Amino acid sequence: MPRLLLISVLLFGVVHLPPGGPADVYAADPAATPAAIERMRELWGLDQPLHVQYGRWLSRLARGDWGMSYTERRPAIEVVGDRLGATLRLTGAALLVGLVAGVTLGIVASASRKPLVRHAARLLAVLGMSVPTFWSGALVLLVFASTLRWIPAGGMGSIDGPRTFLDALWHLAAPALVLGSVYVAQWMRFVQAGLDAVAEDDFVRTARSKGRSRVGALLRHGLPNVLLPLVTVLGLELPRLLSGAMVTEVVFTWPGIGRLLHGSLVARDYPVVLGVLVVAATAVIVVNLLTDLLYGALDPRVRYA
Amino acid sequence: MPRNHTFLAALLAAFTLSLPVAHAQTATVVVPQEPGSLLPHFDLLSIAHEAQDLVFERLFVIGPDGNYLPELAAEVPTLENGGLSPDGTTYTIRLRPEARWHDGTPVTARDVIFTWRVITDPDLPIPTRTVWQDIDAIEAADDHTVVITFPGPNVTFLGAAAFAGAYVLPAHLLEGSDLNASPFHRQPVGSGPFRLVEWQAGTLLRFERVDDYWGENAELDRVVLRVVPGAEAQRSLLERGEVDLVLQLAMTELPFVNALADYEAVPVPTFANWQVWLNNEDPILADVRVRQALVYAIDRELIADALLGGLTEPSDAALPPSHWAHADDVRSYPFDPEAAEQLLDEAGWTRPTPTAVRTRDGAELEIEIINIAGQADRLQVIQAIQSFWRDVGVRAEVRSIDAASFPPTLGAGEYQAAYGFFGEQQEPTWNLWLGTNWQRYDNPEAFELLERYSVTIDRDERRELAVAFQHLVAEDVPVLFIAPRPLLAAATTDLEGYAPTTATSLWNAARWRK
Repeated sequence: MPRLLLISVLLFGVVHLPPGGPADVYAADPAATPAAIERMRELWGLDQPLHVQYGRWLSRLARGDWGMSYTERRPAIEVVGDRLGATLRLTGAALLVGLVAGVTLGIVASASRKPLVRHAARLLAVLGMSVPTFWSGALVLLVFASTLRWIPAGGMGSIDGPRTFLDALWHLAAPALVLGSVYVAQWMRFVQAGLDAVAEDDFVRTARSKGRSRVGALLRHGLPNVLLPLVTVLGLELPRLLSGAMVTEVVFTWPGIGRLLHGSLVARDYPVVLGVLVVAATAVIVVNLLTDLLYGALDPRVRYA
Repeated sequence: MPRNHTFLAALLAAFTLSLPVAHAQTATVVVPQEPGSLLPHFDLLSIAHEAQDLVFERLFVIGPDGNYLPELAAEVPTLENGGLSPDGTTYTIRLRPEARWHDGTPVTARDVIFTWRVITDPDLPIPTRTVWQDIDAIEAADDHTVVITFPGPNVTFLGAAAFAGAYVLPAHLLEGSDLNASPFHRQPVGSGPFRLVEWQAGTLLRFERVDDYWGENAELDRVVLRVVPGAEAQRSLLERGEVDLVLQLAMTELPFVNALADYEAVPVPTFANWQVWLNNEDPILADVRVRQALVYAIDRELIADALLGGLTEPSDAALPPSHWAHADDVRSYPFDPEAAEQLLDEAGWTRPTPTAVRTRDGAELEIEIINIAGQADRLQVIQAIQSFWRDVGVRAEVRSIDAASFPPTLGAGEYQAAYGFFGEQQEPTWNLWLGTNWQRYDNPEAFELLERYSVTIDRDERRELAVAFQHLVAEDVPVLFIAPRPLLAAATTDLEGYAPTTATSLWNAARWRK
């Protein structure tokens, strides 16, 4: 809670830092009288000192009132709410993609004795991490949407078609793969290093001496030890996932909060900008808390005092 | 063969039954941004005006040839038909008696007066109240006649009433409600040929034909505005042939569109110029010789051809050639680096070696250009300008700021030079000069011409004043005009009737056909 409060001060300050503000849209009209512009500031409470604005915003926020979007003229909470589901779907799928691919490649890299396989797995993962999503996304669109036409040219569903699960999946696949590919390398290295470390441990050796194959022993006895800390890494990755979603959402015309944030920043729609940022900050804190708790539940050795 | 006949008959029947569905015509229009509000006058975005154009109507519109056409008004008021009083202060507007809102209520003088009241309400966040706020009195002579009186002669009212966004609002639905937070922002009711039936946030707006429209019904059944901000996704939609029209394409997309078989690139006319604002109060730029040298030094033909798609011709007049009051014989500054170097020498900025940066009293000739971050095509032009200036010994640095910071920075005069565009109107309001004057141009003679312009009723006389003004500006070079700025759209060759104007592109969507 105190963390969230500190974040809210920072967010509010940073958002109001750059020159210009919503009322400048009105000041751009040369016929606008200074009195009319001042009236606009008054109506939006922008004439108050920043700390008073912050206090008002925070007390309203606490009551669930995020203020009115300046551009859409409806509650900011509605504006953000309309777009939140799309981002959850995209980041959730990307997380799944990254996790499955990362763990699989990690196992392959660790279990294989062929250096070629190990290098290939690592190359694949590093490639995913080092290629920026705006570039890989554009490439995927060019090859698979424009040329081969296997995937749609963006969007969350067909414009006129029925809203089926398959249609949703078909639209989700490419952006989830592009966004998820960024996280493969990290998780692969994590799994590989973990498996390599436990490979020589007594309990793995015991399993092998009982007649289990090398890979079988690794998977059955090694992997659970490695997957536990992965939960923590997952929580730490969330901020990066959210910022990556911002780019992916623009490239793939995904109607999520990343794109909303970008548009609202340009329009200086403070209530929406702050709304999105508060949602993101809260998500990060909540997920970190959850991973800590989950850790305790999964690992019997961890006890909370 | 009877079985075969039955089969054929069944096939034919199925085909006939499916005919109405197959012929349901939809025009899909890609827009780069999502409108904020469909309640007219609240949203300054041109994309919002395009969407509102389907649902709402104006008193007049500007046709593709730049002339006024009556829309909700029965005719365009002129001196000849008595709609405009001889002293130029009073407009009498007769409304079409047959015009109806979507709920069947007639469009009346009350609606026009209500619209004026909304636009001028100080408690509503209306981004532009130009011209409307100057109205002295607005009265209903009868249900279908509005009399508007200005305190003095007014020459800009028609332009303001015909320009994008000047839609008439339904008084009977909105009077007495709080427009700050009205559901009308997302569920508008207008008098136009289409109505909004679906709005998927961040994805699309779907419009359907109004079947009991008061005028001639639209040919199309539906218009869909798809919100697609990414250039790659726009390209992909074009290559797949999934859309009929893409509005506001970046000029850099021109070669791509030209290479497509099923689409053509359409230049959308505007009255805007790409230009470099110069702060005329800056110690370096206060010297007219320096400003003139800076234009001479730039090969604007090359920039127009290579970077602006060749859709535009450089001009030294403040109003571009597409404007009715454009002056075509002003002093011109063809690419001439030698003339530039000579003028800079005369101004005391000398060059110790032929490749050095010029200095005067030990200070280097360095100019900072402000740019709006994020648009590759703008940066390309600035880099070209930088390199042309470097050739004559002027060093230019670029500082990028975000779009919202641009007006306040220039407004406060905290800049030397800045790249961007500025658009005039059908009836120039001379905002760049009388209003903002970001360039801090100081020439009393020029401003006197503009003051006279704004009270002169006769259009030919007005043109002469505008031309005289443009001549003065071309001598003084308070702003560097790079080239007029057309917008780019891509339309399928199937789409008939698309005729973009300087105001909006969807103004005649009712007459589109596929």
